[in-house]
Amino acid sequence: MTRFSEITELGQSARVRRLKDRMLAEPRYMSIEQALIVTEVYRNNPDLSPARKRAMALAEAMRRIDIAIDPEELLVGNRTAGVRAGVVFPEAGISWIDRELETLPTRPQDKFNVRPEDSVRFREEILPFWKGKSLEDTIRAEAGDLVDAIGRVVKINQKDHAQGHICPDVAGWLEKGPAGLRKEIAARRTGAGARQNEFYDGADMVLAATGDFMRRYAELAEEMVGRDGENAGTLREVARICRALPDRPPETFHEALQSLWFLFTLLHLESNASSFSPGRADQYLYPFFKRDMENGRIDLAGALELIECLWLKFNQIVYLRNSHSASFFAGFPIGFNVALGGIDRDGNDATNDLSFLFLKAQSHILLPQPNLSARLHAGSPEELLNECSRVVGMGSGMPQFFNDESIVPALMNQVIEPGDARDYAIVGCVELTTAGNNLGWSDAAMFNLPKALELAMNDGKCLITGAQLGPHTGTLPDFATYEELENAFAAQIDYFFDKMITACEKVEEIHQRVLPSAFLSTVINDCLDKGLDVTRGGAHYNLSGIQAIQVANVADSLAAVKHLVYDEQRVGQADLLQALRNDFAGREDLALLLLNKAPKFGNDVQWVDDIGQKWIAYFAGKFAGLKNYRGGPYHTGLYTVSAHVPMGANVGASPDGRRAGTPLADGGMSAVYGRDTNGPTALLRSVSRIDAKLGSNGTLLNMKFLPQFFKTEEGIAKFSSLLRAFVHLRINHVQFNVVNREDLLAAQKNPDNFPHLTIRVAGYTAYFTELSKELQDEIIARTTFDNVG
Amino acid sequence: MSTTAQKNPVTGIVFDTQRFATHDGHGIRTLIFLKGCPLRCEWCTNPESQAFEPEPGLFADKCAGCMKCADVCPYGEAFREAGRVEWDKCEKCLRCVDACLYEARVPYGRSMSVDDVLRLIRRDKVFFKKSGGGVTLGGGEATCQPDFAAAILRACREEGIHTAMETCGCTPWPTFSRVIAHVDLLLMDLKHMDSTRHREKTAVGNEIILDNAVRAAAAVPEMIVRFPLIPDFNDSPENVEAMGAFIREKMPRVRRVDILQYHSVGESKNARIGKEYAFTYTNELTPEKVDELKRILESHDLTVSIGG
Repeated sequence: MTRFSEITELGQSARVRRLKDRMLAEPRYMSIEQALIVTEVYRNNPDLSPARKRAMALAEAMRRIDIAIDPEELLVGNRTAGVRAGVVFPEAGISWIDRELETLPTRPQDKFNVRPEDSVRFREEILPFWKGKSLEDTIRAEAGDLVDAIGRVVKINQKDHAQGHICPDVAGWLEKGPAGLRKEIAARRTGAGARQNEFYDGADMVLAATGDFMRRYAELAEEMVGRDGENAGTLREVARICRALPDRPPETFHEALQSLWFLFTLLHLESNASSFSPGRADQYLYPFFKRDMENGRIDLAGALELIECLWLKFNQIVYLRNSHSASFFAGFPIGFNVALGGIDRDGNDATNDLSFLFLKAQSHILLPQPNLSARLHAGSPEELLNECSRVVGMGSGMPQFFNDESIVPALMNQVIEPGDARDYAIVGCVELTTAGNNLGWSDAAMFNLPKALELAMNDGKCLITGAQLGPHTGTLPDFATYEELENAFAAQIDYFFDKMITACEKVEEIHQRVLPSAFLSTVINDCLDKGLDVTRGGAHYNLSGIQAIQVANVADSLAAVKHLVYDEQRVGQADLLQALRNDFAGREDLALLLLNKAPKFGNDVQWVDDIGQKWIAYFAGKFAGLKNYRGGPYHTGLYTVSAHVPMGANVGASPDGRRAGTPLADGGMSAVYGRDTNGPTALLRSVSRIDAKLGSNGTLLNMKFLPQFFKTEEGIAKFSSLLRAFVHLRINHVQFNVVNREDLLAAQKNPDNFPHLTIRVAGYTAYFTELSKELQDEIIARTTFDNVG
Repeated sequence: MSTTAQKNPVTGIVFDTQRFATHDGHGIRTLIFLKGCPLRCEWCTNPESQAFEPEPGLFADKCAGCMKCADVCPYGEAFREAGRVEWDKCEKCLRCVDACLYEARVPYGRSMSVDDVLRLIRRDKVFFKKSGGGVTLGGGEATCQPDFAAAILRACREEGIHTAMETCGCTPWPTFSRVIAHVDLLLMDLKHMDSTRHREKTAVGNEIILDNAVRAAAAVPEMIVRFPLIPDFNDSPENVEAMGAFIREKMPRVRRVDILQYHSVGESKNARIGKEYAFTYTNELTPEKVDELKRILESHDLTVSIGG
């Protein structure tokens, strides 16, 4: 039995409100502090291997980086003294920063202030040293031509930052702590080879420094006690915990949360990567919570305050992306993805008090992080669904929903063992992983299928530039039948697919050389057992995920051609191709015909949905038997994050009536915005026709509801039943924006009046007013479901 | 695609369908609106549902003036200028609907068989099951196509789908009873307790309606009275008191009344089919007044909600 009804009554503490206000008031700056330390270590140790240099640089940073404590915070730790800083990370790549340094404060997406003196030191002390040495420069030198050659069809990722999208073994970290892990390393050294010992040396070095990092916070807190009598109690407790954690595992709930936050701070300090996920925190934290509750050490309100302090911490680390990448992943999502609920390793419902406390914390904090994910299954308790519905109705787009009934079988369809599959977590936005034992490499590449279809209709030539990108497979007027068009489409996919695999292998190989990650490897099973860095395949699972983009545009385009050109012969082949080449200039009538007189994906029209399924299956099927560079399998995902905007910018006019350069469908599984006109049940049924197993790397479906739907208990109950149907239909993921169109338009016009308005972009939540206008417009245009009249 | 063993060839005119309806009966529902209505309520919010035959509607703001409609119009006269229809020249052939690329013309009504309707309804079975929802027949007035309506409801029940029907109740009892025999939940309008006033604003008296209401309340498993609250028409405390007393005395099994507040959507909808919107009023329905009327109904031991 959960204490659900007591938890729903809890309010937000004044401390948390003050901490939140102070955090949001602090401006964002670019930070070069760690970059200076890392550069110094690399410069002074030119003969050491990359693995040793990386470990030494991390250890140095842990010991020297400036730290700060807010006297009221219960959980401490950050990788910069300021909050929400954009950390410059030279090992991964800084050439782009040199190019964009002047525009960082003014660029349309994800602005950062730059201190003039930092700008100078960056160009004089950091930039020259790293020329040609960083991951970015190495990939450019060794694989740049290949990446560029396929760039209009395939976007190869992970080229300028360390690998993230990882769920570490937090449970193991809480059980052992840095001291326990060091003991494990010592025990494994006997009989280890030279390469293994180099790995163990690095791991041990960073774990030792981890203890020092924690102790520095203890010292700072102790020092502050004398200056701040008002908060002396809080600071003493912080100091006590930070003193203890280097040497022993956490014992209390408070200690466990602090230990968890140190882990994630340090993972970001080492890798500056996008997304390290806490995963199923309601599961591994529960024993600490339960013990404290039983012995009266905390009450529910105290537990909630601690959780909300952690939630605030998740918002203090953001991620500095280049402007192109920022347009793909707008709103600097860093992906502290917390999963709640779902089934346990044996298949039983795992919902507990912490699941409800997490939802309560979300309803109070309403910030972009954590990326809160609710796992649902056929046996999820009614209260959990209703509470999730209530929180979704508040408008932060969270929790997003994942479906155990489809995801567990999808993961088992890969190489995942049943217990691990049932214990899955989410990383980044919507990517699926096992917990603590996988390097999932979930954003290896994105494959732009509508672009491949464009080439198939135009003899391999780009409609926008006229450049010959793909093989000569004929033009639309050459195809006597629809099947001939399909054959050309398949040939274009095949051509780019092979080159994509080569590029992905090259990128992984360079990661191994340039960015070995000792600290991360200590919290990914089985790296310590194997004595092998995680980048080299030390993990138990070594997946690679590639995204098939975008099912709705492929289905709509092919359905329009099939229906209007080949079946009804209402549109001529040459006529259509000419109109596409001219972006429908002077042919408004034809664009409207394609748009309004051919059925569209998302309306429960089976033959159209089946076209989408067919091509996703074709693409996914090509990975069968392939192994990635670490020896694990590839699998496919169906999500774009916010990449549907820049990827659409790269696709000419298409037969679904879409103009050149306009966004593709959002999400990944969503219908093209505004074209799903038969309501949410029709959309869900259409989406359910795409085999969930083809989305084992993650899928994304956006839906938008009006707030009034959630105003009554009856509305909440109906929404919960919609979620039940979603579970039954075996759709992997869905998320909801609950906001009035009028509010979004008002926020666009007067951003200063809406500083806290958060919106679900695509698998993550961002501040609406911090998004570029283009992305704001696209979100406003998405179909809204209301039906309240 | 699943099909029933026996094909049902009965057809009817469906004015509209709506999936994921959440305000006309329990749970998540699919609404099937049948075309044609015996009443002519001045405030009608679905005037395009009143006529029995299919007809085109015009969304003047979407018209781009391409005049493709004039090219296909076999009568040639209905379209002379952009954004307008000469309604007296329109023979309702609906060819302009397919010709229009701008969705400025929509078809109000199409012929569907019972099988067609069932195929549509079945699609959302999972949503009905999870939410306790089902199908709701609306209109127009569904009992004006009694064979069609009864066949849909019967087929749904046979498949375990919960059935509901909205009705104005103005169909003679022998026919009315034949249709409601297949209904799990009846949502029935009561508009005015005074027959003369009823006739003034709806074109019919209330005798058949009240008689049907009393009989239906005893016959159907569940019934909710719906009270469209129309300013200057049926918003007097006396009328509401009479209605409350009537329900309590004559329809003892009815426990719930939904007040549906007037809104002026009918005005723009009339323009789309070339009709005048005759209804006017002077006294606004204030929240206080609505609340007062609600309390009158509640004093008769009824559960009253605002909105369906």
